[in-house]
Amino acid sequence: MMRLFSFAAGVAMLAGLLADPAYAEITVYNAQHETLTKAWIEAFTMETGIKANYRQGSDLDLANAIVLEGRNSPADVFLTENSPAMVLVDNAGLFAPVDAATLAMVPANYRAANGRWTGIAARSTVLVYNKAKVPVANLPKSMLDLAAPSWKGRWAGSPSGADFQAVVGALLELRGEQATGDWLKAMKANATIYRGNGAVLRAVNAGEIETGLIYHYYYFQDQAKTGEASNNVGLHFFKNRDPGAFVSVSGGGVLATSKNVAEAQAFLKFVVGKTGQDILRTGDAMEYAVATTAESHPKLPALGTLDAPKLDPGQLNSKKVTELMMAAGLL
Amino acid sequence: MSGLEIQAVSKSYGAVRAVAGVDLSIPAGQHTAIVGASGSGKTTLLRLIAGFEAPDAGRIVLNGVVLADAAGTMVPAHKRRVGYLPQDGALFPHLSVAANIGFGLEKGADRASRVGELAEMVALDRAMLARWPHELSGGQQQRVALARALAQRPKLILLDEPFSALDTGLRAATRKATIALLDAAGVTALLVTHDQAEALSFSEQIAVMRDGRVAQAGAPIDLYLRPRDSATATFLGDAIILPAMVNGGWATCALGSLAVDDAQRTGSARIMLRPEQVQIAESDSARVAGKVVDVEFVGHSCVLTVDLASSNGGQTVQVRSPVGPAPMVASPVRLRVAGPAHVLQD
Amino acid sequence: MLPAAVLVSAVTLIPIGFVIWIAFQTGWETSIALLIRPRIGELLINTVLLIVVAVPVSVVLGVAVGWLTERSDLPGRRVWSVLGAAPLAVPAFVHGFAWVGAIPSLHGFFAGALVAVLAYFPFVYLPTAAALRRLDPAQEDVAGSLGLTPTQVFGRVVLPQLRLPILGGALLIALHLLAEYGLFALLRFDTFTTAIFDVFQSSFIAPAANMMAGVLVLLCLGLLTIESATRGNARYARLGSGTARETRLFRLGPLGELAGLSLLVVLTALALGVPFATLLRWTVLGGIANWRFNEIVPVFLQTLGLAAAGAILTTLAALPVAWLAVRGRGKLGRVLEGCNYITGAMPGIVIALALVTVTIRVVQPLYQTLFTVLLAYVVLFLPRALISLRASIAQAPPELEDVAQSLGRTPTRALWEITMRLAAPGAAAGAALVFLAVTTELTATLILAPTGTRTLATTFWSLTSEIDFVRAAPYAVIMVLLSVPLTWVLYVQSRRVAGR
Repeated sequence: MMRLFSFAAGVAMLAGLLADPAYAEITVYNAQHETLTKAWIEAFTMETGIKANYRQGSDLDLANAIVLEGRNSPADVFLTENSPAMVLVDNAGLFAPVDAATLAMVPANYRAANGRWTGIAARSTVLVYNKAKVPVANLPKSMLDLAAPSWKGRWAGSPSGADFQAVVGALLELRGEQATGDWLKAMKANATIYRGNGAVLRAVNAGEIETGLIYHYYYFQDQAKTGEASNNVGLHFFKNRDPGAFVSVSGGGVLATSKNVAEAQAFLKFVVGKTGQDILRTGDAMEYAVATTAESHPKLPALGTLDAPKLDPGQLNSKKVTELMMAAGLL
Repeated sequence: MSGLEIQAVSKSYGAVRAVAGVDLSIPAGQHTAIVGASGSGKTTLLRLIAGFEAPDAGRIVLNGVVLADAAGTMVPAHKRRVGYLPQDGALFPHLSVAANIGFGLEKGADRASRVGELAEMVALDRAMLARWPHELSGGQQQRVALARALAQRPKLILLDEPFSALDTGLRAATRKATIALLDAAGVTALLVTHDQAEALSFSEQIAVMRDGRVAQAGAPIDLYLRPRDSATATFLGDAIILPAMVNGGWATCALGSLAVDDAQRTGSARIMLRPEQVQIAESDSARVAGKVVDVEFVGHSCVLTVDLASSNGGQTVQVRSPVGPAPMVASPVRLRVAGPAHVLQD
Repeated sequence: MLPAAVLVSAVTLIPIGFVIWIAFQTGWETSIALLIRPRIGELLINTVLLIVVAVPVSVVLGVAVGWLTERSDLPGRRVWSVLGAAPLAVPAFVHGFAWVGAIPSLHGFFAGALVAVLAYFPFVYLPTAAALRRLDPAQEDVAGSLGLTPTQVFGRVVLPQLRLPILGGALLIALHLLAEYGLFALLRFDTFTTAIFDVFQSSFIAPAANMMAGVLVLLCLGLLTIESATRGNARYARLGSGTARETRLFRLGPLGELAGLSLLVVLTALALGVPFATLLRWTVLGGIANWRFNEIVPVFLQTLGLAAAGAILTTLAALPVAWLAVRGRGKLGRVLEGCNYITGAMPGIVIALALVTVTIRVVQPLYQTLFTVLLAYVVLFLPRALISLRASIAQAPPELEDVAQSLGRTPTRALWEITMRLAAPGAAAGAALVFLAVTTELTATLILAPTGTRTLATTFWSLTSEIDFVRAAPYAVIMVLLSVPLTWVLYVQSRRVAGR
């Protein structure tokens, strides 16, 4: 019997070695695209010699994990796709101030006013439409138009994702609780629900549904590869500071409980620095670079032309959004 | 003293008292059989002796060493050197015959030769050693199991209905061979069985168990001819039990006046005769008359059911008659009784 | 053994205890508010409808395939009998992945039910076929001699005797339907499990997720109750040595043959053809460059390590419980065994949520450790190890251990050298099942594993959510390749147990 136990323990240890590399210097809780963060980490390690390990998840499950973990959080750095998750962690008082030098590299509208986290990338809301099914003239002027009965069964969304919830967060911030709640109830009636923005894009491309409310990069990523999920798709940016022109800021922050503060700050600085932002320009992430001097991928329409609504990314309230969406029966 | 000493041993499972205060001693080198119906506690007693279970009360002593007692002594089974031979041998199916026999032996250079000796001892062809248990006949399996138990030179060997799975003919032969082997090895042996013939022929001592107690223990012939009560009497063999008036060594019953083995007892009692004590009388001089009411041919003899004339149709006895021209149903017969009748205590 | 069994069972009860505790913590009013809302009704209807449709269809298909391959003279029935079990080699969410890849618009209830049936019907087919092989043909002869037509014989003699394997398989399918996340997420059909995951990934409101988990637990208990009530006093037949008699085969005739073959061809095309064609297509599209071995190899090794550790630990944990269930006196063994089945019926997400909260709040050092994720595997997959271990221990007579003790082995060594040695094939089959389950486990691994853990299933899932189906394909292919030999073992085992 003892032999068996020691054998099992051996196997468990072996699995432990494989699964739990003890050499990692910093732990990144990563809700950004795995491929993008992997590229950042590899370049960072190459440049600084500091190793990093990451835990993959989505914005809010990682944010909630960090809050739940509290003082014992193993995370050093938290990267998200959208800002509400950053706000959640910040409100719990768990972020350390970001180095001033790092903050200085990012324009004020792409970071938290209190300096506890910074934007690392950005993505724009867009209405994708099937070019064969929807004439450009018939496209809605505002995202709020999608609540009209005439749009019943004609648009798709993925409300379970943090992406969509960030858009709703912007709507809440811009138009208030009543309007947002009404719009969500209309969405429940009008929209076809998909799981994931990629699925929405595919559905629009295939003509299953006329339009879909997603982020821009899904289209550009697919175009950069085979285009088989997006060749029939057109992009409609709402502009005019419409809630649907919302540009969502992906955030990065250093945990106050980090035991590797210097390395963590160095990593964040690296991500918004030249090399980090260049990965956005040259890679296939197709998200916008946000650093003041950085350029985005040449295929993307310039961020300045999108005429996004003015919002403090540090104000988006994810908890209220979830409540409203549950009330609307979307969650 | 040497041998096995069981004193006031009890064991309960929940509310069920499986063994309820058993006393029994087996002198070293002797064989004892425990008989009893299923549920009488005999297997539990065996398991207590083997050390698979701990008694709730009482003492078990083997050759002067306390194996278990109420003070908390409990020598575990694997340290008792008590051999165990369960029903149908229980050979390890994943081990060869040689590995089965050698299972209890220390690993060492002489192990193979010792296994060979043991095989020879139980008259097992050496060619069998390489075989697997399922390739052996029932009798061979039983001999392997015996060799395996004897390998560690046990001080005591426990046999739990070891012959019950064998055919009738093979059973007797295997039993004989086993007795001879145990005698040769000088091992104290305890056999549990529900087969009274097996018990009677196996041992120097028999203990009849009932309801967790030893109802009676003693030499086989004593128990057979002088059982304490009717239950023991019928358990050990066919018995003719009759109500009688006893006085001064004589009993008056449906078979007339018979000599009994108890001169002290007076008054009404039950007496027992073994069927072989009652025979069909050739001559009319025999005193007891009756009428045949049923004839059953059972191979080596006929069993006649005789209605005794003296009882006015109330009392029948079964009588064995040699095969041959047996009396017909309804024909009158006369009976003769040989030897004294036994007065039962109940 | 007893303390070990009690300990194992107590640990497996942690998740249910947690769900109940949270319900109390949440308070009556909040609980009601979280439970009585339209969304819960929607999910309840979806989930129940799925079970009500997919389970009977799977049963009909499973019995039909079992009968065709065991009792009819269908051409190539030996080949069909293997193909009938083969869909098990494709994890359910890979089935979903393949179907969405083939028909992107596929979604919703019928899609979910269809693919679930294709993925799970072998759970009925395998035990039913085994039982059909074991039935004494003499009974059918007798029924025939009493004037029953072959159809009546099937309905009145054969089918009633298939009740236990059918019920067992149906229960297994229903529990899988409750717990499956990936398949229904891909096919965009919301069940309680996918919804809990959504809540978990939204601004996670713990009581909301836990109340939903509570409903899921109730559904599981409901299923177990229905099953045991339907089963009545009948026990799952102990698998004996079976009859050696050759069964007579039913002559199908040309029409029957055509119908039978069409059924099997269509079924195989849907349940095997679609996954393999889609995987092949993605694989060809991706080409050799898509096999990024520097990424795949570490993931593969981690998966093997986790699966091996999970399989061994689960088998070890199952040991005392199985031993007690077989050898123990009285009810305790059965109660303990029952506890483990109940927890094993819970979806991974419920167990993961419970363990996350318990480790963070109570035993912080164990949070996000290998220990916790392995514990989740043990809790989730214990019944798989238990079933085969129990059956094989039952086949090792207890006298053997007694004899070994009388020959000088300590009780532990006797158990180990004799009973465990004899139970080894059964334990190995159980361990193989657990291994397979860990390889394709998604939710608990995602939530509980140490940072940096990437298994085939989680990597596959991460890539499909980035809609990089091409890059995800190699991971699906590897999972299928890993599953094939184990499915074969299962198939062979089911035949051997049946006595051929």
